[in-house]
Amino acid sequence: MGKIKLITMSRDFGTDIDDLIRKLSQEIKGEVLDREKLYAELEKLGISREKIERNGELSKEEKEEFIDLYKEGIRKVVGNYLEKGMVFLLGRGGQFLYQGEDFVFHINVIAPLNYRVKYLCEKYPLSQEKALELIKEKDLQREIYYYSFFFSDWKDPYLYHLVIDKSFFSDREIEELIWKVLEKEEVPVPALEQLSFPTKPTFANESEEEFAKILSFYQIKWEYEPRAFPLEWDSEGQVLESFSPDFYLPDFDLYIELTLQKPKLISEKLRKIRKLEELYPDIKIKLFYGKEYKKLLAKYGIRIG
Amino acid sequence: MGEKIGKILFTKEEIERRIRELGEEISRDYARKEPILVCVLKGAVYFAVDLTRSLTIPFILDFISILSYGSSQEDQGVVRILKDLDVNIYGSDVLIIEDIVDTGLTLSYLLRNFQARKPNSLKICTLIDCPGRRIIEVNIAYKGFEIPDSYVVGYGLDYKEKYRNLPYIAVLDD
Repeated sequence: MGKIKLITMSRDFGTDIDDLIRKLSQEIKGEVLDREKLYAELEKLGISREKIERNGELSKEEKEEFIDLYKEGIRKVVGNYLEKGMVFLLGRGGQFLYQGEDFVFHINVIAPLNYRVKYLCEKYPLSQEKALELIKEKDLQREIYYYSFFFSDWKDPYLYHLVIDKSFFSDREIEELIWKVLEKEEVPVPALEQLSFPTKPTFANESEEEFAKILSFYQIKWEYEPRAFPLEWDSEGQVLESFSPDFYLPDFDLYIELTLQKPKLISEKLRKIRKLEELYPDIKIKLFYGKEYKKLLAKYGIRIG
Repeated sequence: MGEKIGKILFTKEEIERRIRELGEEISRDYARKEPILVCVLKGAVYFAVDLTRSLTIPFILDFISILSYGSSQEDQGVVRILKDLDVNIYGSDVLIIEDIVDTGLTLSYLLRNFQARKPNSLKICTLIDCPGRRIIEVNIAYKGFEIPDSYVVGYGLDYKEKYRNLPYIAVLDD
């Protein structure tokens, strides 16, 4: 057996992966913990299904206490089964409970809406409208569950090692993918100092660093002075003048130039930007300067200069 | 900052009139639909309440609150939702109600977040548009007023939680 002892399975309603997991689990004499089985085990620990499902009615303090108890309970139940062998945990927030643990593998099974509707209509005698209604209802229940117990969004792809689109892979292919996970052998984890990390750029001034922090806060990807645009060449083709905008936002294909200088002091910069726009008409660039830039920073509580 | 209320940009009457016009426009555009109006807390509350009163179509009103940069003394970390929607917007027509759109940073986060929930349509309605301060371009479907790059307060817009209750919108002088 490989290094993975527990697989958490998150799945969209209408993708129906559970039978496949049960079959796979039987083959390796593992255990599938679905909601029913988990709740039955939790009952034995004194955690009732009713309280789990009606946790929203508890007071803030009671809720916090109960959520801790619930999570602890799941870990205890899963831990007991892990002593006997491989465990597949279906739903219930396993991706949050066991995030970052090296013996656990997180899978999310998704499918486009039309696939899910068609699947439900074919599996059960449902109209398309009813199937869609059911999907909406179940998605909402799921969203509420994750927010109530984990304050998180299960759609975050970083929670999973593998996201499988059920409409793209056959059951057999999915089974093969999971087998690969089960067979994955223990590999030494490199020490932190062996890994290479990006280095923080050297900003020209404090305000640029603050601007970078604001962009990072809003999860906007940025690059600092990634490119110099040649503006003038000599007869030999040597670049005589170039311009490097301060920031580039790749998701918006946008360059940003910042300066705290007053308008009358930035005529040289404005000339360069005009030239850049003439030479590279497809480049989008925005300039924030002087008082306007200070106002922009002040909006975020940053006072400079 | 020894701030004081400066020039009044939009009077109570002008705001009321413009909101009525927006309400009529939105009611026309969303006829035979039941949009989910998402009010971005806290600034847009006043606008959302008055706007919804001028709508002639059925709608669902919901609220969302987002941590903004500099609003906390703690380590900034990353933007996150402080109060999420109560309703599922999957497959629905969503109209985000904002008090002001300036840098577009908060809104671009919100749009990305909402797009992932797969609504049928997603549009923005703002009372004030301040394009001079825009970093990230966002497509605004409905706007009340456009202003130059100035700090404004009143009608929900605050400075350190003050001035929200002013019935007009004015420049805040420092």
